[in-house]
Amino acid sequence: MKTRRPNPNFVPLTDADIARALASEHEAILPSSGFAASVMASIAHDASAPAPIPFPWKRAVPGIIAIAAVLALLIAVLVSMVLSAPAAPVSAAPAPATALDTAALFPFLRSTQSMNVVLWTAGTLGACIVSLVFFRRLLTSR
Amino acid sequence: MIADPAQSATLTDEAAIARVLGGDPSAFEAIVRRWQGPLVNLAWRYCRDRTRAEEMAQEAFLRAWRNLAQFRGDSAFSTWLFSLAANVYRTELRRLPATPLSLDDIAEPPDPHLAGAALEETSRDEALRRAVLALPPKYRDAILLFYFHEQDVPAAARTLKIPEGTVKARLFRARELLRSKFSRPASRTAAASSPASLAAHKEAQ
Repeated sequence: MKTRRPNPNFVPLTDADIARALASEHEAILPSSGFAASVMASIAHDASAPAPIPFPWKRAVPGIIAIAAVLALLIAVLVSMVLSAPAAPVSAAPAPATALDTAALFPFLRSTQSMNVVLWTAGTLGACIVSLVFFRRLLTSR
Repeated sequence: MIADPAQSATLTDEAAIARVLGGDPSAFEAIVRRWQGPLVNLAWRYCRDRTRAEEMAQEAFLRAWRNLAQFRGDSAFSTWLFSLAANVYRTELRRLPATPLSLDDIAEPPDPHLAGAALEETSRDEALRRAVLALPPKYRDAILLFYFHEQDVPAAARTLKIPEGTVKARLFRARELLRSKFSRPASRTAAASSPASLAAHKEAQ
């Protein structure tokens, strides 16, 4: 905020000056004559509108449970693979860390079998998401 | 709609709420008629535009109508209604600010001798009211609601749903900001003993 050079002819406002400017008797305005009718018209319109369709929780619960189960399974598989993976061998001359080395970050990916499991899990999860999106679009387009 | 306007006027808030919740939307008219003045006035303070103030007040009434079942009666209906309206107005101002002015842009009268004292005072008061809208929202809300509630700190605190001490601190800071931007001619001293002055100091004590 910029500061102004003080003018010797002026003094700062007092609380009373501010109160006088903002007090209610100087501020009051009256609503226009049709205001209440206009509000009641909008309320009547709102009251006559059909109630919003509630979210179909009963139908959605099985899907939500299935997604949660798949996610939990995926996390469990990943955690178990990380815990059971052999430690990365210490190299005498480590390569410069200029590029992202996936195998160094996730040692269990060195094993082809583990890689297959990860790919299958990711594929299953992808299929779940695709089917979920497909059915969601199918429902909303009706 | 309620066929008899007299019936609408005599229906208490509690009775009107009970009838609305019982399935009679027309009973809400009693609430609208009773509170239209204060709600439009509060909206006017937030935007200083009559048409917009009525639109904002109408939105507040519509929101009150939709959420009437949430009013538990723990506080006065007016407290609930003002709190809801203030929320609506704040949201509306965030969407579309009332004034493009900042505190730095607000002009101060250059010289007390250039204009008549009354004219200068009137224009300065109007500039000060507009300057309130340029304050940071938490200070703006505190000062608007304090003066809307006729300088009643507890009422402003209830509407804002914050402690009274916080309201007082924000009022102090808001006044400091306004004082830093506005001044009055040094010769005028009459306001110091006016009823408004006494009311302002009553709150500070």
